[in-house]
Amino acid sequence: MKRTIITYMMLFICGIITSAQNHETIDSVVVTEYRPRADKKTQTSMIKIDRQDFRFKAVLGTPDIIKTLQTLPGVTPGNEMSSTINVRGGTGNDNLYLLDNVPLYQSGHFLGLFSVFNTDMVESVDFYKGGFPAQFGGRTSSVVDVKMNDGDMYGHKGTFSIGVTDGRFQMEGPIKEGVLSYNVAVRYGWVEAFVRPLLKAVYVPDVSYSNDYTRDGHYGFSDINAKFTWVKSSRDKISFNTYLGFDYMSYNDSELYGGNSSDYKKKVFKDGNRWGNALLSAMWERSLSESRKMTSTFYFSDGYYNAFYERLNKYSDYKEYDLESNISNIADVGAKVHFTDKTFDRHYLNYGVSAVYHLFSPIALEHSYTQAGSVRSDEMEDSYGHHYHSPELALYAEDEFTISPHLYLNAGLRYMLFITKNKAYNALEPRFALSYNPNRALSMKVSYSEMTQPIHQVESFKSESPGSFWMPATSTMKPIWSRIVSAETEWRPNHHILLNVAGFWKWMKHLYEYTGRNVLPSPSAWETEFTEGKGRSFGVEFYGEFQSEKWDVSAAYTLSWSQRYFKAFYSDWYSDRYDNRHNLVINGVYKAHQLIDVYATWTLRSGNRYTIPLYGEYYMGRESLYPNNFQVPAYHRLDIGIDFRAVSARKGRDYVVTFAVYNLYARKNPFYISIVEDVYNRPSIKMTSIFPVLPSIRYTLYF
Amino acid sequence: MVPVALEVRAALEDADPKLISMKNILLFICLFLLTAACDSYAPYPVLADEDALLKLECTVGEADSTVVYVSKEYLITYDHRPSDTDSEPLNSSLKFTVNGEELECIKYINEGGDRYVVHYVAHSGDVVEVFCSAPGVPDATAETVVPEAPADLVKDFNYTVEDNTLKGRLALNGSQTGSLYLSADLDITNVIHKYEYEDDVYIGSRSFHLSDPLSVKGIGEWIIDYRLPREYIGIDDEGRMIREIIDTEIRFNLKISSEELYFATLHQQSSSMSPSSYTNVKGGLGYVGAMKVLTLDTYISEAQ
Repeated sequence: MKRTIITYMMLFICGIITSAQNHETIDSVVVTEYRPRADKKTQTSMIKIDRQDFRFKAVLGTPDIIKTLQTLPGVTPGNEMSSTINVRGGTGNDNLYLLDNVPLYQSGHFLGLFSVFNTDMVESVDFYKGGFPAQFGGRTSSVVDVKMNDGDMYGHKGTFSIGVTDGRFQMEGPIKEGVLSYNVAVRYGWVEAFVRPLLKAVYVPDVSYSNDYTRDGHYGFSDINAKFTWVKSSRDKISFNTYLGFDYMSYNDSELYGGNSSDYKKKVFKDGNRWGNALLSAMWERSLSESRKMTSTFYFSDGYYNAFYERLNKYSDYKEYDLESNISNIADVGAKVHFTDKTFDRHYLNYGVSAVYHLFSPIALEHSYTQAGSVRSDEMEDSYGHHYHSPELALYAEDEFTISPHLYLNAGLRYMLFITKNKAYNALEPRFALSYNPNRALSMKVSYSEMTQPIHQVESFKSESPGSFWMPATSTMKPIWSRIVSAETEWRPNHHILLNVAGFWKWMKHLYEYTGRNVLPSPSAWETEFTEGKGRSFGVEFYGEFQSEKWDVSAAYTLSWSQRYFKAFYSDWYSDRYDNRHNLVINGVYKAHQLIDVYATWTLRSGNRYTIPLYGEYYMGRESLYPNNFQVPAYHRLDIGIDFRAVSARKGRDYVVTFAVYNLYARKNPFYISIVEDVYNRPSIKMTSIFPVLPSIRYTLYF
Repeated sequence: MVPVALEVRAALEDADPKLISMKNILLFICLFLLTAACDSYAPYPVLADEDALLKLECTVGEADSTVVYVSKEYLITYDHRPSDTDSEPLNSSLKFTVNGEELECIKYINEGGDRYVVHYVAHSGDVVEVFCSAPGVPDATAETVVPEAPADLVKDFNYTVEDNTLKGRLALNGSQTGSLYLSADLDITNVIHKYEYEDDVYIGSRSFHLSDPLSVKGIGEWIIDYRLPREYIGIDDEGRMIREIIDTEIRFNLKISSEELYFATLHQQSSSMSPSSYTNVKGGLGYVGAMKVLTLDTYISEAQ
């Protein structure tokens, strides 16, 4: 009986886990649109995703912005289930995430399964992977500009959604009709509630080792969004926006000896991570005249990561407590003032200034040790780390010039000043774009952008931990620099068909890889533990879309090369780990009935690359000739989903029940590899996959 | 997540078969799809042209003589590699030149390969070339240049001895440090000249060396904090207490590595165990690098 209960519990929990994994599915079928901005005809490499696309085209009712972006041409996700995007051969750490103009530093929850953006709050997303407008800077590969939705000024409404891994609730409405509104959302993940009993149920203690041994795991994530909008007058709108996100993960081992005897002893080991974001901003939009508009943003943004180790030894007569925390933190206080100006005929001007004060604590060690009791009493506290106060200033201007009804030119310039300890970096970043539209259906564009990134996000490649370390450019670590040239042709013969072909060339300098001997960089000398390199990528992207009353089908294919040159690793260019030569994503949505939508997404891309030893014994082979010399088989999977909608008799209430399956045909896509030896002492490559077929269910209520 | 799934699977394997109804069978199938057989295997790919390559390991300038280690590295898929107890002689030959002039090499044949000793004291700017050949493998050649220390490199160097502990600081001119591969350590020679075995005292002398890297405080800055080993108390093989009194000579060394040596060392010190792809040996593996050692001062402590 006990076995049966445990079995059912395990099955249930596996369902929980797999449901979490299935969130990939919902994300991948959100259909995006190539929609040029009406006010900028020269914009290349930009994709706009509207709120309606998220809301009505999600498979599980929880669309995810980053997972959606991963399905676009020129974008790869790196590892399965990750919450990062590698854009046109970028590093994954070079994307600017903006939440109502404010940068966010941690983009993922729960090991990347969820992104930090709650789509119930999102109005639209503008995704730039080239042709960057001059107002954007500070990152080298992409800009994810997320606009939050103002609360409804005239009626209350909301969303409630529940799945097996998380739930979310969103509510919006007027505080003062037509003047002041609120929009609030919370999300909470409850994976821990099921994982903890599972760990306790299945773990068999080694009785010979101790009297009572327990193992426990904790995981939780939650986030809160709130936006208040005040329409002060017909010319002024002020909004206050806040976001708090929190992740916690730990693994505990506990031992008990001796019960209540005099030899009583308890040992507790805890190993874990905490990470998250905090954001607070105020935005003032003012129409200076019919043709000029000013948007001012004042903000505080904080991203942190803490890897900690805790040890408690409690004896019958005294106790020891030891806590070590490795903390990385970045805090920004900033202000932006942006102007749009259409005063001059045939000119559309954008200009502004941005100032931000960064406080970096790249890696700090805090250590405390306490002994108390009859034996001795002792306390020790120690902390070590460097803090960097780094002001950053940017000035920019650009002009969209209508040369003729068919020819448009955009020229811009951005200047950046970044001051760090004993060093100042200046950068002039030219932006240029030209568009020729011979008719309404066809457009041809080229663009040129240079971008500078004065901060580095470095992850120890030995660690798969969720956190990351934000480090400033210093006198020895230079800002990352990129140059992107794009050319694009788009043909939209009618409302049903869209074809887009884009080519890109990209160069990157001052990339850094961690080379230290420890899992975490040394707090005292982290700058000495990195080696510098450069990168380049080029490719061509194809996107096609067909929409009809019943069907909405899109296909994105990318043929690209992504290479790196790190002299410390190899004396020539070599393929990047995520050099996925071919990348194909096909989405299909079939409106089978007014209340039933069926979705499917098929993903196919070349496998990731790993470095395997070639010379020496297999277990100690240390010579590989060149990095990333082995490519795993192609990654592919099919996700399907179906939405059943019901409309309540009470007006305005929709219910959606979503069934979905991730990786329908259980493709064993390698998640990581290891070298093993067979019975004949011959080495072979073992590829482990951890996401086979995963069904899930979700219920969502719109009221 | 993976350990969880494995533990679930392990528990299921122990389940009582009598309890498995049709409903449970369906659930088992689902669970199997979710957790089972997630591993697949691929044969080892053929990614290299040669069955074996010569590996050179040489650091020029670290000592008064230079040693070149030569070994033969086989493909890990190679079926005919010699076992440890049946090593074939390498039969290598080596040519060591400095600024174009060939120097005499003394060859020692070891079990794992050959060792060549060259009596050569490195000077900054020397161009060192190594050429090695052996039957059945491609020739290997490498080159390095002994690095040079700028005259005003050291900005601050001081130390004191308090409570039997060396404390101090070494700092370099910031503008110089960016282009150099630097490290600093204490080169310690302990001389034991008196042994006390419980009630008996023996007079003798022996020495041993060790190297203690200095703690890095920042870019081009190190902290000296070393407790002097004035005596050592231990237990000998027969269980008697040993008290050894020693003299200590400490050299404060600043080391400037050539790029090749620095890059090769990165992989040796890395805990990732990822295979190294760096080499400056053309046609082979390994490295030939150089080091300039600057001894800033020498401290000698005498036995009390």
